[in-house]
Amino acid sequence: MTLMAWIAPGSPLEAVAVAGRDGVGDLLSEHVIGRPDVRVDRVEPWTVVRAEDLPWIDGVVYLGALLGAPGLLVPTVRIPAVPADLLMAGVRRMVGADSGPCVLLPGDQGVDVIVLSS
Amino acid sequence: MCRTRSDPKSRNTDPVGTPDELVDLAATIRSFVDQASRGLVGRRSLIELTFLAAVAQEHVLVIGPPGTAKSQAVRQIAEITGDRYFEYLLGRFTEPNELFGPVDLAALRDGRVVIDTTDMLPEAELVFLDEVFLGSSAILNTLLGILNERVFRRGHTLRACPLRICVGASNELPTDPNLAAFADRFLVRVFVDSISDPHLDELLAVGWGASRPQVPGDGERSGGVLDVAAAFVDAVDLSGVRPDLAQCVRLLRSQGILLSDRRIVRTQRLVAAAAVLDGRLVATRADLWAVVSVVPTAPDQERAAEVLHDVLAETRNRVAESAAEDASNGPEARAARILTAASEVEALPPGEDRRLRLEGIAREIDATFAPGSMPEEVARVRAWIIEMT
Repeated sequence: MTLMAWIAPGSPLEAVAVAGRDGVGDLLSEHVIGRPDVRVDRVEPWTVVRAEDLPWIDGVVYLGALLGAPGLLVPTVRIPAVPADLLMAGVRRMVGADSGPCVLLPGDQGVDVIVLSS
Repeated sequence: MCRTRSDPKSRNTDPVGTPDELVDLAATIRSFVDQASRGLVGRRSLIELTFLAAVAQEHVLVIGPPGTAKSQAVRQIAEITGDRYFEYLLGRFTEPNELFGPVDLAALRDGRVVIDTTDMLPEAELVFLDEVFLGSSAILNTLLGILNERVFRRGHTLRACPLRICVGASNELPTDPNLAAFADRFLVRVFVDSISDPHLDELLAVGWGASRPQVPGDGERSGGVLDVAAAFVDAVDLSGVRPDLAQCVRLLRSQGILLSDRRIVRTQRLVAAAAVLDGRLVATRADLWAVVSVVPTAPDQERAAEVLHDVLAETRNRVAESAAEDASNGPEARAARILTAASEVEALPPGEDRRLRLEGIAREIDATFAPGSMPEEVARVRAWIIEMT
């Protein structure tokens, strides 16, 4: 478990992906079935969809790239209250330097870290 | 163009007067200084030194950034003294005839190059030349004769000039030795700078009245909607928002984003216009988003929006929704745009297009507002969309 505070960014991040948890995640992946422009990653309990045209379902969380931490996606309206470079270094230590993009989401007991396919 | 005043105030033509007359004369000039300083902030010394130089019949060089009321100060001196006045902004491509007058064509037919100096620099008593060092060598050489000897020589024209004082202005002192020699003809140097932070409020208050654009042809306009709206701008009460505007300028300065005094003063008109477009005659913090648009470059506008983020949080405008939101990135402006989009979609007939557009709005809401900080009206729209989809 990782404890971390989350704060509102000065301006919302630009959404580049969307995540849904449990049943919302199932709906999300059903919603984009057959779309060739979409990449879906499922890491229980989350489903993450990356696409140009993001779907909307009640309960999803939109994700944007955190400034200063390339490859790290966080909620567009909640960002970690940690300097981006330190956060990036910590995540890379945790998941490996060669892994794909990562998503950080506030979880029930800390932070959920999801590694996406490259 | 050279302007002649037919009613010069209290001009004493006696070469020498009595001591009492001299005391009166000094009092009159003191009154001229007071009058010429009206409506200008931080330019009293420039005006006093220009009067000093005028009495000594020496020339003045004013060094300072653009938009610091250099020309306005000299123009006001000319208004008060009634001197025949000529001013010009020099550029690299300025032709000598733009300053000294055109060639007299009738004389040219007789093989003589005679300059018609009517209402031009050689006939002026007070001259203001902005960007004076940008003049060509032909211009500067002719000017040298006028500055040094008060004699105009060009072609076959040779005439005495009534020039009392020439005020040259430039952003910086020249480094070119040839220009340095020309600059040496200006005995008095006055260095002006943008108005300092503590005086910004005063600059804004004093400058507001004088900031109305001079539009000689406005009587010929159509009198349509835009003219009526423009007329409302002058009636807007800015007193409540002026301290916030001054604070915006200070914040921008603290980040190295500099606006000339002229731009700072005129920004008030944009703020007032923003209030008018929002249907109000009292400007508030909701109208300060217009400040971002006066920052001269795109990267600095981005930085300005960040620096002013907190000040612009209350931004909203019912006409310029997108521009206000772009400038402020504030939640109120974003909410206003979302509400407008929702009301547009509400009017659409049920169908796939309506559903997709509703989803688009919901997507924007969820990507923009955290659940705990969502404005009430936006939350209602979101609930309605869920119901509809």
